[in-house]
Amino acid sequence: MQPQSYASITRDTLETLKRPRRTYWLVILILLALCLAFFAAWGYQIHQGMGVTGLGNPVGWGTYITTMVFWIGIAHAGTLISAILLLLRARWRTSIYRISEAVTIFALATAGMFPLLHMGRLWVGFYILPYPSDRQLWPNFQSPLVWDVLAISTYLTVSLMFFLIGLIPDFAILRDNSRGMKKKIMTVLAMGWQGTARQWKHYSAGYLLFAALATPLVISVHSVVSWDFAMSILPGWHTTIFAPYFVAGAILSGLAMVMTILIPMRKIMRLEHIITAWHLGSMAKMTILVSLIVGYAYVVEYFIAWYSGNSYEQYIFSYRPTGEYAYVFWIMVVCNAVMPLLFFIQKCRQDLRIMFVISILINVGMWFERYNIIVSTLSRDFLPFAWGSYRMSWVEATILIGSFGLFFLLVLLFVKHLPSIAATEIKETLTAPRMESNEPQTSREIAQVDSKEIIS
Amino acid sequence: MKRRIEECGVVGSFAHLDSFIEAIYTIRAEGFDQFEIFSPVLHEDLQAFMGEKKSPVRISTLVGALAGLIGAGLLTALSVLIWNMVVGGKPIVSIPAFMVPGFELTILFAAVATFLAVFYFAGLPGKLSAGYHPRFSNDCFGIYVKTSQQQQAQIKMLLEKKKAQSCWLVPQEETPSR
Repeated sequence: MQPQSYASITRDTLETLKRPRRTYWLVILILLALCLAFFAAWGYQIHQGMGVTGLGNPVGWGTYITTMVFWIGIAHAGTLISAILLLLRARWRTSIYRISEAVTIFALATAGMFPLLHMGRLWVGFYILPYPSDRQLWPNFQSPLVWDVLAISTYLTVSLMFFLIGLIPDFAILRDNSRGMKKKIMTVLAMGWQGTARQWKHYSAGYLLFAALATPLVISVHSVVSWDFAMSILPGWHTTIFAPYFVAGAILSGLAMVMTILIPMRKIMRLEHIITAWHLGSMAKMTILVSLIVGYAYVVEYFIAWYSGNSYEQYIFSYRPTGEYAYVFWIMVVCNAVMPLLFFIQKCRQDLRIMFVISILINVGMWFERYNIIVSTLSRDFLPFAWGSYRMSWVEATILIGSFGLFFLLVLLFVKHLPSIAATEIKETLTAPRMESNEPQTSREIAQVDSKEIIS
Repeated sequence: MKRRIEECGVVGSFAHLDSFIEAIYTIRAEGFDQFEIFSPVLHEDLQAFMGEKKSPVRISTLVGALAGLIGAGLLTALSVLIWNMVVGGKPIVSIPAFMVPGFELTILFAAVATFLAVFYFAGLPGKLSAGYHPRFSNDCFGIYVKTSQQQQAQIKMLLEKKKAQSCWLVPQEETPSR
């Protein structure tokens, strides 16, 4: 493994921003086509009305709400890796946190479209905003749906600011090492950053405070999302375990998505010495922990249903693994609670191909988890008379697939145009160059020494 | 019409942190207080030169958090009192339900205040100092001592003695190329 220095980190960062190969543009074109399909399907829905979806009575929440919760969940890994691991002083986060933060921003931006899609008449979306108007209508602050709007918009705003603050010193590196138009753009973005003692003092204080603010936020956001369901009295939803269950699920899906992106990215951008298999292995270990929590929540839900003595609650939990949506339930269990346990085997943590496959399966499983929660409960209400079923329409399917196109398009544009590795923070993990001892180190060595210090 | 007074000083660029810190102490010991240091990273050894006072950014965060909490309390309580919506047997001003908007707005306002405070106190956006060199964001540490033209030679000699990789005068000399 190549020893690293401040200069080599700068070089690697600049290397990631070099003119991309033709394949990159080909993938961008495919993703643009998916985005086009997304907006075309949305336009069709606006023109035709909500009848083009599979939504109706009794299942009024379907693919859109499922996908919104899925994308919000994906967003959680960014804050976990950038803020919580920063407070825990886990230095291995430095190589991967920038891309995780970008995943947070893009996933939230994608998620934010789904309430508008679900709303149907998106042009009256501003009704939810609290401002004095002639309508004499104000949002009901007792409603979990309004909490959700506040929680998600706060999360997006805070994540975006945290992301931008972290980028400033790296913009300065690009400003000082580029030419032409790129230099001009980076000069504006770096805002005159020069790494003076004064700047570092306020920057580091602010950065730590941001991490401290983002940490409770990451827990609260998905808790609030879970209360969209848990505050109702429907069987399968009205349970106090939902908040921790949702938070764990969100972190699991977020970690999986970051792995899905990082594994090919490190190969394509030749960043194997910065994002090492060891870093990914650490993420796999964290995935085991979170998966066990999720698996535990699946089991506890059944215990609660049995212990409650409530026949409606017991029915819905027997319906899920055996009823019309049994395949959804079993995909969820296998992908989220069984497949990640393969990471207990060292070979699976070291073989990146296996890791990549498992990460995709977890993403699939997490989407089905939300589908399972939402659709099964709504289709089997208290009255058998009112029961019904739901099928995703082609419009919803197109929008679902298109949302992946939109998300990955943003990720790909980011990695080639902005610093996707946090150069300044990686430099901080290296031993500063000294006259006396000037031993070059790799980021993995630094992180390993760091872990040993923590353990001892 | 005011004439712009050009800054005058000496810049030293260092490849090693220990010689850089030694140079700062020497410059200080010689009685030169007007200097700026540049570093590509935040290193704990440099914290001694950041001033003893803690960053006021944290005060801004607290003020923002309190403003958010009070604002959320007013927003939720006043809105239901003016446009009340009786949806059940619950009190109009329901504290448990309003804790969620309270929490979210506390965090939001605290974060916005922190963001603005970092920019304000760090002097961003701003112009680059006359002593700044692109290598200071890459792999070199730098010190820019602001002084009169008469003392430039003395400072340059001091920095070179402390193993500065390169030294140049501001504004007379051309800065070294990267």
